[in-house]
Amino acid sequence: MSFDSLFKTLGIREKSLVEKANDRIMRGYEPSAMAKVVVGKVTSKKFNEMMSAASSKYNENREVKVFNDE
Amino acid sequence: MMSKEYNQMHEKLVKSKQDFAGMIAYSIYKAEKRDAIRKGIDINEFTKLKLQTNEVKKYKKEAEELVSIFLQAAADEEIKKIKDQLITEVAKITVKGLPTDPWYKRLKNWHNNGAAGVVGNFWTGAIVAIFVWLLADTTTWQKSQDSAKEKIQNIATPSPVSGDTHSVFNKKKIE
Repeated sequence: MSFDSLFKTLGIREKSLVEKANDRIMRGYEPSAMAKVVVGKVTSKKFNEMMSAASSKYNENREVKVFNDE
Repeated sequence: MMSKEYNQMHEKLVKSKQDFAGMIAYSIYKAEKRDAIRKGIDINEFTKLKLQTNEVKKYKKEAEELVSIFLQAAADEEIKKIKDQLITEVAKITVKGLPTDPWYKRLKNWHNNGAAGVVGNFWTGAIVAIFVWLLADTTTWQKSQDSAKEKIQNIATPSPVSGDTHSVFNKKKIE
């Protein structure tokens, strides 16, 4: 166990949104009615567009690029 | 050297390098394949079955559902954060907006709560004095009055006989 995960388990360091979402799913998560409305209908096309936009934004100011062909 | 023969599942599920949902579908397929190998299922039969159109569609649907549930979980996390912030803000506004009591109510509260010890001592002294005044004869009451006056005078101007040569009063007298 790394220091990072130890601190996060103890609650000293805050978990990221992805980690928090993952924890919920691992515990057998049931989405709320509000979350269903907020997210709406998710298609592969929409998700791919969202991921492309997110990875481009992430790569803008980082040396190590993700999902990048160059 | 890599074998030229391999199943076309990746090509069926992942259409391009930007097909992230396809990559998730392929991950689900690989996890199932790993389980099949561990259970000793014939892998050629497994692959042949999974390459069928309806199975490929099933993987894609599962990937979409997984993405959806993940986004909903993230949304719920953000909703929780906003709710907590709202509760804190509403509590602050409610406390600020509470009407303040008029001065006589605040005085009553102060009398009954804040300074209860001091006020209680005062009332005890007063009640004892009333009892002495009622029950004692005139001479005893006069003695009590004289004794009280003497005590108060001693507090205000302590006697030099007390031996406190360092007191401010004594220094003044010496000067």
